[in-house]
Amino acid sequence: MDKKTILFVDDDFLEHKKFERALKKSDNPELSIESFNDGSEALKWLESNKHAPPQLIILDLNMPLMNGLELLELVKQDHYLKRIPVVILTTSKNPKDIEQAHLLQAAGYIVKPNSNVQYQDTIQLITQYWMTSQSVA
Amino acid sequence: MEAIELLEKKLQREIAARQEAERILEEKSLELYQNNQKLEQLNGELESDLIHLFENAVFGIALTSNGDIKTVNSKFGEMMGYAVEELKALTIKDLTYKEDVSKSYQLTNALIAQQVDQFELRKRYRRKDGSLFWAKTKVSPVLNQDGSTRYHLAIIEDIQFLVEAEEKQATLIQTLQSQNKELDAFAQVVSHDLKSPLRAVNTLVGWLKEDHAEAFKGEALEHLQEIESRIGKAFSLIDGILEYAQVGTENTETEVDTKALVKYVSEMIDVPQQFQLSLEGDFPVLKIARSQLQHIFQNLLTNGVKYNDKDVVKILVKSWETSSHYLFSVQDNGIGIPAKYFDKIFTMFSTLNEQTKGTGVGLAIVKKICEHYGGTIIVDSKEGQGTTFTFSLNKQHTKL
Repeated sequence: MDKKTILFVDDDFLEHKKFERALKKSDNPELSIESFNDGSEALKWLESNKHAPPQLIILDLNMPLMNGLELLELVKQDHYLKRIPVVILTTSKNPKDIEQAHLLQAAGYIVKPNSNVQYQDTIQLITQYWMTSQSVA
Repeated sequence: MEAIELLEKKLQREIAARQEAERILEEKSLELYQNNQKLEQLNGELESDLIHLFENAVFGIALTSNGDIKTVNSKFGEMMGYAVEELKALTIKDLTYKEDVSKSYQLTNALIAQQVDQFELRKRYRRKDGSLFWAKTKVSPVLNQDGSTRYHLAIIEDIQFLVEAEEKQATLIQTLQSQNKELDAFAQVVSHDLKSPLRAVNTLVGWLKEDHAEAFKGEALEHLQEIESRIGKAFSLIDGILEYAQVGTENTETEVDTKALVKYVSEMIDVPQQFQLSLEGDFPVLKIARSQLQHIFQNLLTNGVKYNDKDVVKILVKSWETSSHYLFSVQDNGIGIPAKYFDKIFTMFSTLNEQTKGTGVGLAIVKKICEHYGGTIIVDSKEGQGTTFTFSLNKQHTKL
């Protein structure tokens, strides 16, 4: 079976590390992670990997060059990319961000839990759910 | 002979009749003349009344025909900076600011075509010295007996002050709105930028504990835990400030059943095993932002439970109303608050006990919400016996 990919986009490298650690603990060997610091890099990668799209995109909102909502909008405008579920993972509780993300067809909106234990649980929950879900062939 | 006598008698009768008729005619003529005199007098009085009214009116008055000015009162002359005689040689168009001429024309034409009975418009007039002022003009036709239009009567009220005040108000509102927006954006950015480094520190401390469990024991581990607890406090502070900044920016006001809300909140919060909640009075259904009212009850109920040393924690929530306000009180049997702190607890960043989990923002937010809805909050307490918070919401802001 092919490895399933999660695209992880966050401008803080510590968040990359944190996400990888959380996944490692869930012990899922068929998962690979592609991490990016910024929306535009992630988009470049997505466009050159249309033949093997990721199973899930996990997206931060506040990023310097292209922010999460901008990337989300571009992904949902693309005929192929729009089928990939995008889950927002951010510190923002701003009602406007939440509304905007849902209007742009985000599959979910998760506020990063402050506590490390809760973060771990949340990441396991999200990935388990979306790895169980059947994606478009 | 007989015939002559008969004729004479007939003649005399006719003469008498004629004299009588002349007498009556004279009498009637006199009456008519006198009536006419009276009428003229009345007319004169009426006219002088009208002229008096015309000349002393607080509004400008103009009589026009096809846009030509027939006559005006002195008030209008004063408003326009012209002598009355000068105005009589001008047209309405000469006095109207050029940008407002067309709408004035349209309405006048509609009046001439009898599409409307009268009209009212706001337009700018141009004084003799070229300066402009806003006025409210009401125009109606004065009709002849046959129903044709004799002239148009225009009543002109200077509303320059009103328009200036309105403009000022609109600018103020606009400034306020944009400032609110900026403040909101500022709060969001600050919150994000403050939280990011905190998150990082929190993450790293967690990893130190996990990856180097051997190295951190005893006091060293306690220090790491202390760092985590302080970070937790900082997180709640940032969230609290953000929430405080957001009070009143939420516009989604819905119907909220206050009784159901109190019950919902009591099920949501952490309560001890022995917990008694009672509700008393008529709880209204309000038009309010649900999250805001929930915040109030959540905060007050949590406080009642958290600062409580009794075996059985009792909370009584009451509701009643006055002619102007809805009132609610939340009474607990907790540790109480010394009277000297009654004011301090509602100010930002004040917690009475440094050891408690409180951030000192909660009650400040509660107070701000109450004030946003035209109410207030007060506290009454006896140390060792319990505390009662009473808050009000103005009916004008919250009535369905």
